[in-house]
Amino acid sequence: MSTTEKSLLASLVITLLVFGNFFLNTLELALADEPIANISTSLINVVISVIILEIIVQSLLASLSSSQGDDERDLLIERISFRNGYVCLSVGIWIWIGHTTIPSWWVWLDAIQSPLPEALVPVVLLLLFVIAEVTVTVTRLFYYRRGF
Amino acid sequence: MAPTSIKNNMRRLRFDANEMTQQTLAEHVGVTRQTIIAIEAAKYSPSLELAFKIADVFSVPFEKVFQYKA
Repeated sequence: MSTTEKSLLASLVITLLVFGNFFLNTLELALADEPIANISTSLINVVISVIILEIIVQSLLASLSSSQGDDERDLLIERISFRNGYVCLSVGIWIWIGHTTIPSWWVWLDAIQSPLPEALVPVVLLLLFVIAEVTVTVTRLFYYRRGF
Repeated sequence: MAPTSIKNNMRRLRFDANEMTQQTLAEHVGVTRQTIIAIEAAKYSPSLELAFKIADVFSVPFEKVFQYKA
C-alpha cells in the first residue's frame, strides 16, 4: 500500500468516525428543535476536531514514509474523484432546493418536515459536504487499489 | 479499470537495460513507481510527454516501447 493510499484511508476513517458520531448525536437534537446555538457549537467543535486529527495523523504518516509527490496519474485520479464528489454535492443541493421550493412534492416522505427545522439546516449542509468528501476519498482509493 | 489499447515492451526493455528497477525508471522520468506499474500492466495510458521520456530513457524509438492495438 502506497503512502497516498495510507493517507486516504486514514482520512476516510477519521471522517467516518468523527462525523458519523456527530451526525448520529446531532440529527436527533436538530429534529427535536434544539436551539441553533447548541448545534452550531458542536458543529464548530467537530470541524476543528477533524482538522486537528487530520494534521496529527497526516504528519505522522508523512514522517514515516517518503512521499514522492503527485504525478500525472495521481492528478487524473484526483480530477475524476473531484468530479464524482461534485456530482454528489450537486444532487444534494438540488434535492434541497426542490424540498425548499416545492414542499408539496415531499408530502409522501413523512419523516422530512418542510420547511426543515432551523437547527437542521447547517447539519444538512455539513452532511452534504461530508458525503461529497467521502465520495472523493472513496473514488481515489478505488482507482488506486484497482489500478488506473 | 479496463486494460488500455496501448501495449508496451517496458518490462523487456528494463530487463535489457541491466535489469533496471521500476523505481529507477520512475525516478528517471519523474513519476511514482505505482504509475510505472500501471503503465507496464497496460492499466494506464501515459501522456505523450511521459511516453517519449520513457523511450528516451531506453534510448530507443517511441514505437519500440509503445504500440497501439485497436
